[in-house]
Amino acid sequence: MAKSEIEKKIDAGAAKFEESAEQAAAKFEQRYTDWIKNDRFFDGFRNTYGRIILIAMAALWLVGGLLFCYNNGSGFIVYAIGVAVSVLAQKLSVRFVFKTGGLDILDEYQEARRNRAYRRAYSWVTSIVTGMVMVILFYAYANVYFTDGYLPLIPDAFIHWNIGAYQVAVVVVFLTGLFSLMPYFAWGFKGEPFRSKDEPNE
Amino acid sequence: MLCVMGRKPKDQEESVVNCIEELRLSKGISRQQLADAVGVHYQTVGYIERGEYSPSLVLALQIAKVLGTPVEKIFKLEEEN
Repeated sequence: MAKSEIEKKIDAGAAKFEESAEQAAAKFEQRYTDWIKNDRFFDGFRNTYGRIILIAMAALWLVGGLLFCYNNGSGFIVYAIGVAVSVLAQKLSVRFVFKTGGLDILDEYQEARRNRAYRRAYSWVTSIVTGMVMVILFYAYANVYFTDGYLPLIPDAFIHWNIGAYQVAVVVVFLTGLFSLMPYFAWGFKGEPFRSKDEPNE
Repeated sequence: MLCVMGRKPKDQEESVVNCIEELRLSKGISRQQLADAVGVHYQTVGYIERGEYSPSLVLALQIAKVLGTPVEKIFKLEEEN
């Protein structure tokens, strides 16, 4: 059955809309790519000194906030926001090199450096989490031993560990921050992955 | 021909030396022009010239093509030098 005039108009309108949407998306992607590659506003985050300060602040906030919030039972929101801001600052400082979103903006050197950072981060996270588990285990053992006077089996040690929902939330934020920030820490202090073409050649 | 010996990459036992910078300057090509021609950032060209990064075979061949010199004349193992 032949399409009516109205149906044909609807089809034509839909095709036009689809085409416009695709063009708008391509334009947005191009602008976003240009911004990532050429932004100068956050250059202060991208030099070596900026990276050292950002990494030190993020690490201090992550660990200090964990200890403070866990022990005092307050400040969770500020801690969580601080961790999110730290992650964002790190992303900006390396021009989103770990999250290019499928954009073709990295060359082979940058990809190699990014992959090396991932490998380092994996190794560091494994060591840190293993170390934390060992410390918690030791603390749980010691806690039970010095209060009850006997050395329990491992499951007993954890059963005696009273931890509230608030502390769990704080630990979740810490672990989320740890896993998110570690690739950026592993990237190193060296400045940004690439400079914009606007900068003078060496 | 002067070949520049770069720092030995940590993840590589063999160090690769190259004479890209000398060839590039002799042909009057800027780092940015070479980078644009082979599709990398100009900082990457700097890392390669200083021996801080050994390029892939594809990139090495592209660089050789732009510089008009056989790849084996540009890149050498350190021990050959």
